[in-house]
Amino acid sequence: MDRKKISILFSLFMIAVFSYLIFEASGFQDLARYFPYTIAIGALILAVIDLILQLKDYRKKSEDGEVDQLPIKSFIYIGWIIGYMLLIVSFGFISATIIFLGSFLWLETKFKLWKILISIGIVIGLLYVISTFMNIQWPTGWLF
Amino acid sequence: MLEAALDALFIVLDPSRVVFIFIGILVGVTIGFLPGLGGPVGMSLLLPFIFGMDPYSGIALLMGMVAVIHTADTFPAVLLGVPGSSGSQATIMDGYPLAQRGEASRALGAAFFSSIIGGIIGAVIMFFAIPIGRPIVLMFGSPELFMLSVLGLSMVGILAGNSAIKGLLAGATGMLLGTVGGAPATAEYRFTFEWIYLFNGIPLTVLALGLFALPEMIDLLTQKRSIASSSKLEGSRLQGIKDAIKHKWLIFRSSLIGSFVGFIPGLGGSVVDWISYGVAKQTSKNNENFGKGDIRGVIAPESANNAKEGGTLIPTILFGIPGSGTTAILLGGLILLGVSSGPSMLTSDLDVTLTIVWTLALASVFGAIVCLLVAKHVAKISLISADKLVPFLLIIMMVGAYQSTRHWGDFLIFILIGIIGWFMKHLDWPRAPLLVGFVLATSAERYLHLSMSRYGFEWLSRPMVLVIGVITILIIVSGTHMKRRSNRMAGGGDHG
Amino acid sequence: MGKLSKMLGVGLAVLLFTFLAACNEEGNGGNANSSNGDSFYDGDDVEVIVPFSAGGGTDSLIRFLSNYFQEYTEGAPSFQVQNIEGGGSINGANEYVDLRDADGYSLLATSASTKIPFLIGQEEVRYDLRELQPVLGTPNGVVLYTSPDTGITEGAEIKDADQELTLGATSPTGIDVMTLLAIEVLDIRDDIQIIFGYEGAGASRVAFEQGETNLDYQSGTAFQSDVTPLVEEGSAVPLFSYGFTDESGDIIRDPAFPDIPTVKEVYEDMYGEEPSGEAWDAYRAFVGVVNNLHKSVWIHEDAPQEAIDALGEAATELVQDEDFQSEGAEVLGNYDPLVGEELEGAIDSLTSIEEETLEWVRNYLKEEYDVTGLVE
Repeated sequence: MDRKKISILFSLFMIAVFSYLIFEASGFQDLARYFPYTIAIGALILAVIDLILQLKDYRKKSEDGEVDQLPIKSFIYIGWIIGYMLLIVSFGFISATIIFLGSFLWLETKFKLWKILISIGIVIGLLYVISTFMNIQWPTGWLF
Repeated sequence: MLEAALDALFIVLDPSRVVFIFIGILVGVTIGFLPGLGGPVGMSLLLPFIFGMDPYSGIALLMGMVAVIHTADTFPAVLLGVPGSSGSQATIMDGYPLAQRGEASRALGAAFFSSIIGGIIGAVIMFFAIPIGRPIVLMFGSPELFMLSVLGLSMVGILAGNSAIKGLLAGATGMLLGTVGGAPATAEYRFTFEWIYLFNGIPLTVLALGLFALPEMIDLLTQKRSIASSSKLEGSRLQGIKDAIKHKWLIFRSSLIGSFVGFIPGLGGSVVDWISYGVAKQTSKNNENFGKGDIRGVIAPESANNAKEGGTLIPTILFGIPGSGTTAILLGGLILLGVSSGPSMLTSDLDVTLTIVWTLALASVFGAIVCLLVAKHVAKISLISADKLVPFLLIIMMVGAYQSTRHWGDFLIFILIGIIGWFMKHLDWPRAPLLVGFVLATSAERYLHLSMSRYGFEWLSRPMVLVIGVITILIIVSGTHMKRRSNRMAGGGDHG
Repeated sequence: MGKLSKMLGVGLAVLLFTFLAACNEEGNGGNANSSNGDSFYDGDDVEVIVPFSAGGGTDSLIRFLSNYFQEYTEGAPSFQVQNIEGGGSINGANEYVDLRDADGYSLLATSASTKIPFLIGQEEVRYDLRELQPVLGTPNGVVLYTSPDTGITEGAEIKDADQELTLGATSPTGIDVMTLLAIEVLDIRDDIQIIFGYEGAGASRVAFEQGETNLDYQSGTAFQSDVTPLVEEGSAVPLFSYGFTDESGDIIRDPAFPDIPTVKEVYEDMYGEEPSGEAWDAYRAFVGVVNNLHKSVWIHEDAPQEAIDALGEAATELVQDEDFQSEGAEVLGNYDPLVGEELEGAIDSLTSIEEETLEWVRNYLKEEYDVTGLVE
């Protein structure tokens, strides 16, 4: 993915966020408004300047033919992390961790089955120990 | 008072209490080591044991834990680029690049040695500050606190590096994230989307973990490599210690900054390491390597954040107002031990106060030594390849993030910030200014409001306000000046 | 190499935890009560939801109490503290009423900041304290004081100050509401500039000592430790306490400060008659819930009667315990916990709070202090 394009898209996204915050803040009481309002307006101005600079730069150098790429593979791993979260929210932490760890070690790390089982065993064991003695909690699901 | 101090030392050195200090240290090291876990977890672990203890032993246990959490969280900061708790945020700026170069041992060695010295200096300053602590704290009214927030915010410019506009944007984004939740000046919840999770604002731990840890894990996986780019560790702990000794003045200076900023209630201990990092960067020669693995960038924040522990205890025990999250917990513990904070800590409870000082000093020395001893082995984490390390780290961090409020929102914000942080990392948006803006947003807004509603514009002419203002300007100007000079010396001053 | 460090880490952790586990056994082993099988709790676990983070004031108190509860409750159940933070303690209390069964196996701990959102009708609140049953309450009063520079020596002179009175406060939705009501009762709102935005009671006390403000109030326990020395050196003058309510709902003097008059007495001094009206009713309701039951432990109203009785008896007995009294002195200040009949009185005044009173408070805060997010 073209890094410069993404950068412009990200800046547009931030401009949208700042604009939304300005809109939202305009409805606050005076004392709650002035601070976020001032900062968001300043940020919006800076973001627009930044965007203009980027657009200039984009035209100037796109003739080289060299395109700076963002690693597309990263999105697969972002997907893994989001998937793990969704598993936690739907099945509870322990079940989600077993599923996530097992499938990750199987598909990505290419561990052998016995190694996967041992890894899961150790992790679950340690989690059990710290939850017992350290007042650490996590969302429970219908299994654990 | 010296005599009382000696008496207190004998109380602390009672063998049974030394054992308690060590138990506290072990707990603190373990908790500091795990990213996302901090004082509250340690406290809930130790609380059941301190009931019925005599105050000195209870303090030994609690202070042992409190004193080393910010030492041990250097491990995740250096090895994984993850700010462990609020203490070691700035350490990641240079500690992590060092680990990437395979010099994790050196960075850890320097960090722990600085921690020892910082901890001792902090305790010494605390000892001398106890009698004059109340008037000093009372010097800082709302206008002064506002100016100190501005001083902290000026670090945004220093941390922005080469992309000034993006740095400022990141700082502003951080401040806007900091305004989420209840407004300080009036009863209104802002940017919460009617979601009760956001009423208390975004938890700092979740933000810091997401911003720095997730992008790093994603990239490690993408590049299928270990944290250290080399397959062998270079640089030893001893070399790190030598580095630290070489920069003894930096340690001393940073420790002074640490204990002084820690003193000031209301600003929070969480900016201390950034301020000392920024000041170190601005006042050092040849500072172009800061942010790329300069050992001074590890020494400065680490000495400051250990020295801070002594400082934050002054407002905590003399006024009952906590200077940091951990001291808030300490207050609860003290009450359970039958000690109530306040002016009596200078008179009838002076021995308790002095016990705290001694325990703090001893625990930070012992704690750092323990960390130093295990550092060699722990540093090897940086050699494990990503696909074998990251899934386990992710599990630990999910657990850590969830301890912030124990609401599923912790996961959501963690990952959301993580994705935004990943884009920021790859699109050259500096992330440290965002964290600084976030941490200081509330105090800047609060104290500006308080100053204006109490004094109108009159507060601008208060002497301390002017002094802090001048210091802020000096720091900013000295940075540009130094940069220009070093550019000229390097012969590459094409941008002026 | 990687394996070695991993093994080392695991080994260390296991060692530490085994050690702590050993300590834990020792800590809890001594007080197992004889359980003869017919008690409601028979060595079971009882969950106590604390809507604050570990190590805070409420959390410390509950952890302190839970050891004694275990010792004195028939069947010696183990009390497990569960910290559910967020939303200024609304989260945890909501979770208690929404997601916990009224089976007697879960309790809720509250402090003043859990009660005020209910009393002022914050939209997010889903709990009704009138539908919960207190098991034990710890009282705590409030005292308002001023600086000698104002020339005021007693509460009734508050309208004749030499300087403008400035009060440092946190937010008109928190514990400050009680002060706002007191000010309304005394009709001194025009004489005082209230600056909201201080981080908490500690910060506003420091602002008072700095001279940034000249009027401040502190909880009874904080007043004893931090303000009494100021009074003794002559840099603070107590004006009035907020008092407590007795069985009939009348305001009486604070037992920890028998020499400081209450709001009621100050009003009588100023206006020569007893206070009355909507603000006064609201004030008394707030004092009854917030001061009398400052920090308290609750159980579902419809929990099994055996459970409520078992816990009630335990509460009555544990306050007699000598260790409890000596260790608890600092935790509780100079106040005796409410149990048994006194607690019944507090429950009566709680359940008798009228809907109109709460509605009046909501409208008052909306109109006078621009508070948003309250139910219509």
